[in-house]
Amino acid sequence: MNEHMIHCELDPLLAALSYAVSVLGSFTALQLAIAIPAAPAGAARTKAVIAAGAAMGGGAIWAMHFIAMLACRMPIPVTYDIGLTVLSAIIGIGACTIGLAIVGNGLFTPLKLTGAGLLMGVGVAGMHYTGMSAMQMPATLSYDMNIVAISVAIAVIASIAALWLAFRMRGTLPMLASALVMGVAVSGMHYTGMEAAKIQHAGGQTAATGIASGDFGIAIFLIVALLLGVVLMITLKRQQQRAQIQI
Amino acid sequence: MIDVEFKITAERREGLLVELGRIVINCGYTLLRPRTATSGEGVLVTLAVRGPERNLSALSEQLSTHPLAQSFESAVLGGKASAPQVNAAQKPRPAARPDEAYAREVEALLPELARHFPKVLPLVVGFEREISPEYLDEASRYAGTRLGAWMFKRDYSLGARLNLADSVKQIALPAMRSLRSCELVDGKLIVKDSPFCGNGLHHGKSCHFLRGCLEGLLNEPGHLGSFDVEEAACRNLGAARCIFTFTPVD
Repeated sequence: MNEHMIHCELDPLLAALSYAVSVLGSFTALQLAIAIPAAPAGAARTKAVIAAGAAMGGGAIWAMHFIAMLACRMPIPVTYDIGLTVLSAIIGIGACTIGLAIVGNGLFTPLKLTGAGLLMGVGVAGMHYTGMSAMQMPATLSYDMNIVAISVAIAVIASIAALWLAFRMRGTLPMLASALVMGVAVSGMHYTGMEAAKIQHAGGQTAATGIASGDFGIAIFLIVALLLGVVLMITLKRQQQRAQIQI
Repeated sequence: MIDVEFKITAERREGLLVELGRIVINCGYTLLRPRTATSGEGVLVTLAVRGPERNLSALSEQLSTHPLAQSFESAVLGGKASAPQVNAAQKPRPAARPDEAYAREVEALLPELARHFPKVLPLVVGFEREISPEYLDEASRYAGTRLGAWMFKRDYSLGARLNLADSVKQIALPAMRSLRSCELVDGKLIVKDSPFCGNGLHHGKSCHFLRGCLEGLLNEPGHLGSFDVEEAACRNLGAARCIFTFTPVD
């Protein structure tokens, strides 16, 4: 059986890039998220929650996942099912949006922090494993469930730590630390999840209907460019607002 | 464009409408219907305004924190909202209203505090020397409150709504450290070698400016209710350190 096992050869540069993107996405999302408690109830708060959830789910998690998949070089052709790929993004964005809405609403309590961290962690894991199931390849995919459990635990615990740093503390350094920790949540979960995956050659052909790995390049570039643009915009806007505050 | 109605209660009428009107215009809004009426609580000013929605939070912020404003409500008019959006609960409780006797001096001091922040000590000392001794404590505390509220809005308003203990630790402590070395022990804020101790001008406990700063920092968010800050020990009374405690106001 073992001679049929397919191993992923990791491109270290792309792997590092995947972590950098998860940190950038987390930083953007948390910058948006910390404005949720102060946003007026109603449409403004809903917009803030959705923007933060989309940046976290789409930028930090989804984009990281697919860069990491590009970093994983396998000796078989792989394409991705469009429906499941879209669903994986929806899971990531949805779970993060709900999580951030919980932690950003009302008084900050350990219960809310745990609930939000749990949702975000499950969102990270849900996105990853749905994204993995979207893989179309001449191979079968199975998992070591013990390692899967560890990967989910990493995502949940690191998400709680990141939210604690971002929401409870004030200032740029805790925010940066929070983004680095959230990057660990996303990347740690992903690479641990990849360790749990057992890919065995099954013969046959790759479905021609899916998206090829290389096609994600443009989508990922657009997401990263958007995240950088949002960070720049938030920074400039907050500097402007800060200067206008009257004593 | 959005139509909004603001209701602001103030202690006095003189110059109020002109000042509020200036704020409205500076925020890019047009004043539609200004009305004033005398109520049991003072003067009630009702302003119907129209302007860009993106500037609404800045306008609300400036109106609600105007030194003469005692209470503040806003309601979106027309089809933009099905029900009035009332922000009265967000108006932080002012620790003290400025007395006419020192309001002018405080208002003159505040922009200087903001300009020279965090090096405010010489300004505070100079202010305390100039103000009438009768109003010294109250005026110092009020100036501190305004500086504390400004520090909160500038540097600490983003993030979760914290409980009192966390607010003291995550907001009041780092903010006060920008003014003077201090630490938190058993929920009490301790300032070592405080130079804000009145410099011989005060009798009794004398760190009224720092006390006001803490009240401004903690009361500005508005979600915790109101807190009084008491000075449990003061160098001016021979204590080794100035100690501040925090008490909810019923």
